[in-house]
Amino acid sequence: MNNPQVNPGELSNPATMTAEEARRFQRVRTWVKWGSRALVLAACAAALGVMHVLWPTDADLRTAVIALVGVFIGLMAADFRVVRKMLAPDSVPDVITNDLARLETCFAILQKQVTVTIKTSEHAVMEMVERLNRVHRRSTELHDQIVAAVGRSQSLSQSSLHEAGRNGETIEALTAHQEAFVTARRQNQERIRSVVEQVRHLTPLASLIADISRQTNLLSINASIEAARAGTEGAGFKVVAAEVRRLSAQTAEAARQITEGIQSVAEAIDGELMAASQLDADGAANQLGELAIHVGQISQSLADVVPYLVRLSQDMNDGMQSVTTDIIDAMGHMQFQDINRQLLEQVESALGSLAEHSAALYALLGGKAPPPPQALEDLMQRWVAGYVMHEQRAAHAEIEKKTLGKVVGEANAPKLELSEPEGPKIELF
Amino acid sequence: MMKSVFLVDDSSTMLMSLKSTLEISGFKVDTATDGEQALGKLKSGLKPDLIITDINMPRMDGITLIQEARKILRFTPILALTTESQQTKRDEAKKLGATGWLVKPVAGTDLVRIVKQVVPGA
Repeated sequence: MNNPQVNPGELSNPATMTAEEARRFQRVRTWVKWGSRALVLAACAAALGVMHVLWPTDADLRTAVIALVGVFIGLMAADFRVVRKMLAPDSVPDVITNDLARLETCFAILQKQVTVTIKTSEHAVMEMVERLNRVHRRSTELHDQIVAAVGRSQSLSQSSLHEAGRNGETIEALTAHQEAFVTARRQNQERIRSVVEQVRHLTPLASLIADISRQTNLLSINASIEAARAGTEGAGFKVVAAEVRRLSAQTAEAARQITEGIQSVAEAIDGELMAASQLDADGAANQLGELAIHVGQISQSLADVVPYLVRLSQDMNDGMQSVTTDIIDAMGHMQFQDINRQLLEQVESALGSLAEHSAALYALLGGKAPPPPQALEDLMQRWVAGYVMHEQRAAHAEIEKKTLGKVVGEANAPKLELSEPEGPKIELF
Repeated sequence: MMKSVFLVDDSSTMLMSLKSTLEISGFKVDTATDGEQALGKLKSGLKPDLIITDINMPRMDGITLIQEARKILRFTPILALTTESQQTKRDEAKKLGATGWLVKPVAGTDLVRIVKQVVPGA
């Protein structure tokens, strides 16, 4: 630590002394007191020693004489002006002057302690208010998210209900279509059976015609043979035979056309059946396709809902975590009350001791009492010993530094150890 | 199983705020308002997973409590939570068996972090 440059003349005036100077002054005074006493004792001892050397055989009388001389010399030595001043108790004006000189510093320290208390309160309350505001903001955000989620759920429910309604209509249409299809198919089957029966009746007829045609052809061949055997008389039969053969050919042609007609009718029936089947299939396919689209839309809605709910749950979790953290930190800032309590307890104790000291000074002024058992400076040192936190020591050191700065200048004021924090705020051994 | 913390402080607001903080964070909390009361509870069989004690308290201070508690619970972590920051006090607490030294005010989240750090399985 650098010692301040102090004008030696100022040291002799207690009113202008700083705390450090006062402490040095006190130390010097103590040394002088004990030094003078040691001097007296040393003088006595020296006298006894001389007596013993000079009169070893007649020590009793000479010892007493020389002891008296030694004490006398010691007292004379202790009676120097400076030593006598140091040994003498402080005069009443000196005591009052010293204390008044330190009183301003004293009150400044207490004022600073109260200021620290106020700042601690302000800081803690501001932090708590900030945390509570954050909790409020986060809660509002969560509320908005919940409202949005409820709105979206309602929309999804309505959409689902709408889709379900459309699916119901489609299913009803499909059911009606299916019933109509079954009825139509049954009727078609009846008609086909009827047609098939009719066709079955036509087939023997065509065979009969074909047989008639063959027999007629044979008859015409026989007639031609007989006509050839009869010669000219059979010429008429020859003409008839030719006509019969032509009729047979026409009959065969008719039979072929009937067969083709039956075939054509059968193909026509098949075509009608296929067309009817295709119509039914197309209608059902359309209905089923529409139903599939609706179901797909519902599935898509549900697929959107799941990640939305997961995200919402995560947001809620994060929000609650943030709110919990802010609440925990806000409660941590409530520790300021304990800090302030200890700061104020110290101020209260200091004011009490100051009141007692002032009362003692007042009694001293009236000549009713001896000087106080301790100087104000000592009282302040007791305050320092009672400090329990860095803020108290720092406030004290700051005021002491300012007081000293008034004497030696701010630039020359020494750095005070009290203002240095000791150790980290959190330390695990 | 829920871990337990024993809080010792003569300030009712400290006890309230610390108890709430630790309970929110999932700890079971017992309290005492001075070293003597705390020592009585420990002698009655209280076996917390962690002790957090103030230092400047009436009747019995935190340093003495650490010394006496260490005779009963040899391995239980003990944290000093105090406004005091003097190195001599820290050294004394360390010598008597304290696990750590926290200077008030400590942010709630920092306190929970330290508690979880020193309590096995928390």
